[in-house]
Amino acid sequence: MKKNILRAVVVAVGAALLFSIVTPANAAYQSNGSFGAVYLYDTNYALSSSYGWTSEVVGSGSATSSTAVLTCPASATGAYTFLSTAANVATPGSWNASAPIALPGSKNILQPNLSPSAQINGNALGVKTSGGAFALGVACTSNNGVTVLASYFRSITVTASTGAWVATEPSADSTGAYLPTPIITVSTPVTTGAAANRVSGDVYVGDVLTANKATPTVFPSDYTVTYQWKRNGNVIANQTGATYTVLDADGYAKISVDVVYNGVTKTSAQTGMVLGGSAVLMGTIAMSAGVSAIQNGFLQLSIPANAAATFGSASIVNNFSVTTGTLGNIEVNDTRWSSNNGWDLQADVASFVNGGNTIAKNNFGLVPSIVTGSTTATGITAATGTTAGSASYPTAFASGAAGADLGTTGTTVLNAALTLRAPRTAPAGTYTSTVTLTLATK
Amino acid sequence: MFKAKKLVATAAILGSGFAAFSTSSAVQAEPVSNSYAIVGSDTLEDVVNAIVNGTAITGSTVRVTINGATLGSFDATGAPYVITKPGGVRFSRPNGSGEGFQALSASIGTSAAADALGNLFTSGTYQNKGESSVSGSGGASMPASLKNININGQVDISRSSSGDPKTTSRASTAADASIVRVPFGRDAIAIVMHPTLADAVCAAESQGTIALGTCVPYLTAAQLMSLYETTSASPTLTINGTSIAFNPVIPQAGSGTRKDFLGKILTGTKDSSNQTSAFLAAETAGYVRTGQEHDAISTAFIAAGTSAIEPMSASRWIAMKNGASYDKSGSAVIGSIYTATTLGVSPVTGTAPALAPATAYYADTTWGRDVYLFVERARIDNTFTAGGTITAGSKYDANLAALLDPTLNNLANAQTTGASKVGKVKLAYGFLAPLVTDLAYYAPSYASKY
Repeated sequence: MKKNILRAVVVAVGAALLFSIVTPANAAYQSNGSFGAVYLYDTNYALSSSYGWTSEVVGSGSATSSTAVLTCPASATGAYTFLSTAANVATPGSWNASAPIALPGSKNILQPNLSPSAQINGNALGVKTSGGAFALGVACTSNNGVTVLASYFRSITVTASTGAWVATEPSADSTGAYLPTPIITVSTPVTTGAAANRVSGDVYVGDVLTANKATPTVFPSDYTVTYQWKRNGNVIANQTGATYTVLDADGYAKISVDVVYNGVTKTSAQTGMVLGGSAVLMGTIAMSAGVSAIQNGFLQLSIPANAAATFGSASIVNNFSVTTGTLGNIEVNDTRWSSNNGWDLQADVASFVNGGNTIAKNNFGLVPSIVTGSTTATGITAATGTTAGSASYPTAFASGAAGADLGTTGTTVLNAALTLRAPRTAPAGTYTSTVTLTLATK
Repeated sequence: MFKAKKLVATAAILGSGFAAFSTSSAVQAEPVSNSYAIVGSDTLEDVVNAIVNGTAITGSTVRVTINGATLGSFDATGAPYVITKPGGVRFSRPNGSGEGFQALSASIGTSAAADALGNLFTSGTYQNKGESSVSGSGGASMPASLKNININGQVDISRSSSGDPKTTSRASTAADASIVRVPFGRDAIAIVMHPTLADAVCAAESQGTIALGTCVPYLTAAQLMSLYETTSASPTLTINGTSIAFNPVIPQAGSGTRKDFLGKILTGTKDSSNQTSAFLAAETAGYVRTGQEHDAISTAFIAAGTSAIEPMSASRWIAMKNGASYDKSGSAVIGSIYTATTLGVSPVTGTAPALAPATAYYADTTWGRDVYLFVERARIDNTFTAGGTITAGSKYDANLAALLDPTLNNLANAQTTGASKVGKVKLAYGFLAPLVTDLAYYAPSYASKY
């Protein structure tokens, strides 16, 4: 009898994987903090983002294939599928629900079951009842499931009561919010010479620095990573490796490194000042400068020739005849540059006379002021002046403080507001008087 | 979720009956189920265990759970007792398809006082309805504390490699068709031989040698019948003029593989376990040794020496060689049962750890066999009324129905489209999709159980 020995096509079963595994092209942090993009596939292995509570769902690292693995970090010892709030993604003790899954030696997770109803530990039913926003995915763990090293997850919104849910589309983290900040470590310290007594944290000329691009120690693989070392924030030409040997030129400068992941730059903190360089921080420069003697000037009062105060017309105020006017600008010139003694200006007034009639000077008020636009000296004070009806003379007009800045010209321009309030018994008419100004040094 | 059954108040039935909740401080050998409990066939135990405990055999972790709860699947052999539910009763471990079906029968339905006996289970060839002696896999060494245990509610699903483990097939309309059979997968029955015997048979059949990897010994059903009904302590077959000695071994009573194998090779009048009187005489005389299903390192197989031959499920062979199951194949060689269809081809293809079912052999309508899960019908069929005795839907359990729904990725799934499919796990364990996907109906082992 004939017998055909079949040599059928071998279907790989057993411990071997049954489908070719696709490694995703780029594992990159997602905008929600996921270690990499996760795509969801339904019962027919079709890509979908919306499901019922008990729908079959598996995860994949590719948008075009349901068999792309999610790769856990090499130090992972366990894996779970989980359902948690966004804040608790890395806290297994606070996950809403989870289920343990096998972590193969390759660390590749294939088609994890991400159906929320399959998360048998914890309280998945509570999530269905309450609804809300959650993270759903795979956690790579160590320390028997206590420490989360990396999580691949989608952000989902669950409808309360029905448990129907929708996942937000994956998007890469383009701002680097989840990328680790690099840390500079002294991987090969110099221990001789000035560095013999170094303490932790010191950086010496000659040290080899390493940019530890990952902190924590795991982050998505497949990033293109470039480096740029900087001195006091300035690019050090051609220093683009993962390590940098500190140069003498870096003495007293602070070193930092930019690590660029897929085009997103993360900058390390600066080191402390680099020690042990030959650069000098201080020295002396002799100075010798001659000083010329300044000619001391003089103090003088300038009143224009034929100066006359100007008055307006008399008017009746409270049954008094009141006449106001201004004194007119007068100048005090003080060019005593070196002695700078200061001065006092005083005003005295004679009685107002009209033929045989006299108005006493206490009826004359004088309020001095500094004409600031023309005055270059500082330290000038105008006196309060006097009030018509209760004035007494002589009265202080203005003063210049000793040692004050005389300005560039030493000129002070002064003026005063004048008020004559005639007694009620004084007959009408034009009365005359004079103001006498006396300038004296302090 | 599993609904708690009513406690049996009548604990004092027939001497050793226990109440349904254990009061002893037992040390349990295995975890209990958090929901449904599955017992029965040895052939299906590894694949069902893998599916409910979680397995990464396909590369993806696959685990069937329901409503946030895990299931429990219990081996056919192990500790002589088993406790399947939290606070459940300790009872003798159902070993094989037949005892699984009996245990399911004892578990289902209410325990009407008139049929409280129908809740009692003892592992062994007969259900102890008041009988004090036990034979079969329980044996005389069965302790009294494990006999006649009321296990109402303790078993929800039974695994079976036999399509009709207790010969109780019914039409779907029958009032007592209260157990339903759900297709699980497709297996095949093959034979295994000691390598010395295999080389001798292959030499006689001009097939090559084990060493060259070209030996797939085959025997016809007629040749096998003559071995298993032998009247000699040293049966022989003459193959192409060469006389070769065989020492036949058969799996234990209650094994679905045993029942199926005997049903297919024996042509005389058979009892409900497919045994002819000639076979029983050979077994009783010891000419046919009684071993354990799928175990080529059992005491009986080893005792049968270099001429040992035993039927074995091809799926178990594949699972063992692929490392998916604990390997009890020893040094045995797999052989084929020759029909006009199989032409003696090997039941498996490829090499370990990538052995796979040979579809041509599995497709044979005699030696390929669909394998099943049995479950109480009223719990998954909300139209069944047991002839008007129960209200339709009153026992319906949507979660249990979902577990056995072939359109979902649960116990009845047969898809091989991806690593996350239960059907793909079944393939790794040597099972193809079932040939027939219809449900079938059976009466329980005992009357009035619905």
